[in-house]
Amino acid sequence: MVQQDLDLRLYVAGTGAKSLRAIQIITRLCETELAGRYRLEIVDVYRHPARAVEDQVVAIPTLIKRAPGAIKRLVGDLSHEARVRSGLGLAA
Amino acid sequence: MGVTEKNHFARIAELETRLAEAEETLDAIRQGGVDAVVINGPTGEQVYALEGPDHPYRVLVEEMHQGTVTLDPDGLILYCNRQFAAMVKTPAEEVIGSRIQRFLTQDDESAFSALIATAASGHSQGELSLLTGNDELVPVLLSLNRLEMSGIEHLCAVITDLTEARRNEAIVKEEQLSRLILEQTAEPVIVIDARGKILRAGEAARRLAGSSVVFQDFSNAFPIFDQEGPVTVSRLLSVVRSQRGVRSIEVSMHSSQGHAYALLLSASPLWSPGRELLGCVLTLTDITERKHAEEELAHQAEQLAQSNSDLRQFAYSASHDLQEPLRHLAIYTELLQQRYEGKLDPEADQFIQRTIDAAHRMERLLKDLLSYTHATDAPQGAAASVDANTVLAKVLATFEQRIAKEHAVINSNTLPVLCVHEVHLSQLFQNLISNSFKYHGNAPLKMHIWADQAQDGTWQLSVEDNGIGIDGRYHQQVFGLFKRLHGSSRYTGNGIGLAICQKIVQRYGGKVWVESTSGEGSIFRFTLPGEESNHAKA
Repeated sequence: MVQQDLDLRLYVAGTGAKSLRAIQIITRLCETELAGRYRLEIVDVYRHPARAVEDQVVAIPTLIKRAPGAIKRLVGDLSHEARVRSGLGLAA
Repeated sequence: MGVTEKNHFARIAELETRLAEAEETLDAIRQGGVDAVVINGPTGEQVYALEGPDHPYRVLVEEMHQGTVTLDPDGLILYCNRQFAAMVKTPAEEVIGSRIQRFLTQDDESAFSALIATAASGHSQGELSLLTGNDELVPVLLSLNRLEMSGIEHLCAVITDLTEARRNEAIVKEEQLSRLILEQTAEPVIVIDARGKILRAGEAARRLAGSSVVFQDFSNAFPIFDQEGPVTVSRLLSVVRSQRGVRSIEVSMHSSQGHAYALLLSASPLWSPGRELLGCVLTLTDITERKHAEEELAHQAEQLAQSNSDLRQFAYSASHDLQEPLRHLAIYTELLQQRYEGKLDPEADQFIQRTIDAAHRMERLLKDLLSYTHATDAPQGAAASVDANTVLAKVLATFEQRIAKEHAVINSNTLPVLCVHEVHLSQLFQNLISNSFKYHGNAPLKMHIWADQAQDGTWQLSVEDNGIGIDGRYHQQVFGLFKRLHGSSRYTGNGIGLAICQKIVQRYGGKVWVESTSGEGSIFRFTLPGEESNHAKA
């Protein structure tokens, strides 16, 4: 069975420390473990506030796993790797 | 209903209330109903303003004209402002999360690594090129600052687009060069746009107009006229457009100071890359002085021609009118001689004889003078083609007796057809051959006559003899009027033959000269127009 690509959307806020950290961690994780098998969209809520409302994002950073499977949200500091991995369904 | 069950319901109700509160709070935040949130952190409560004091800075960074990028030490772009996205012609969403190396050329990657290394100790700055999403290169100044935020190391880059600055530098350099050229040229140079407004003008142009002319209308600053009337900008531009320029058209101008100028107008079109006429570059060369000099020269030439004609008239009348009383003088002195010779004392006889000789000599002089003045008068009609061989044969026929008597030998090569009056050519041969007979020394006369054609079609005729020759000192003098190198006792003549030759040759635009050494014969050479030449002035 062909594994569906991981579709991620990361909401960040400008140059906020946790936002920058989130970009760094998620990008690196995807690049090293999912090379070519993911789609990552980074949305700055300062530039696109309407999209945050659409996705019912309240706190930044928020990572939304849109596919595969059920939609899953991870809110707040993403620097705990184990938490992120389990949230994305990746092997620990 | 048991206690436990009761407790469960109470618990559910309580949870529902708390859930409702939480949802209400979230809704309030979501809908912008709060200014700040209070967070219970490890160091106690912290207040996070939602529309806080960092808002103006964020707007500033977003709107500033320089690009800003936040990078991690590997070059991963964590943030970029709107200007940077515009600079690299890539949406910000695509920029963020990608690596800065994507926007660098291979050549610049090592330079960039060096900048990062230097920035580790605080700050670094360098010039490099950014590769845009359209594969264009944008020259930039990049300055890097190391920043530590919440224990994580970042690099903040501020990027200044140098395209405009570079272009301005180039423009400034070009501008300086063209300004220098404009100021250095002695000619008035003017640059106008397609509406006739003066964009540039050199110092010479300012002097010509009498005031500063930049940004004025060309027609007002330089009211020039040609034969058709005022030279308007629209007329000028349409000629420049259709004929790709104008070269040295004579125009006149009355300056605001009231000076009249004669000018030579030249103009070249200025095209845009899309072949649209942007204007033209004009030069107005001041030829007023030259025109004056030309007019003055023409005036003098006219005066000279008039006075020459007066002189000729005078010489003609003098020689002609003097002949009559002179003849009377000669006739009556001869009568005196016939009747009274031997009846007076011997000295009186001698005086009478001398008077008669003098009268005859004067008669000959007047005749020569007459023929000299005739040499400059045009015979009837224009010069026609004449075969020099025929003319020479006719002239030689008149010398027949003398040739036989003195055992002279006169040879000639085939001569050309010349464009002169026959009488003039005949006079030239007559005078030169006659001279050779006169000055031939002791040996019998030998002459040779030939012709060579020059590149411009004119002919050079040479008349060589084996006579006494002429010393180099006198080569110019011999062509003067009444110039004789020898006393009349030995060689007869009045010294007018060569003067007539010169006069004839000159009226056809030719030259006459002599090549000779005393005692070794002479070659007289003269140039005359050939058959197909239009050098004939008659």
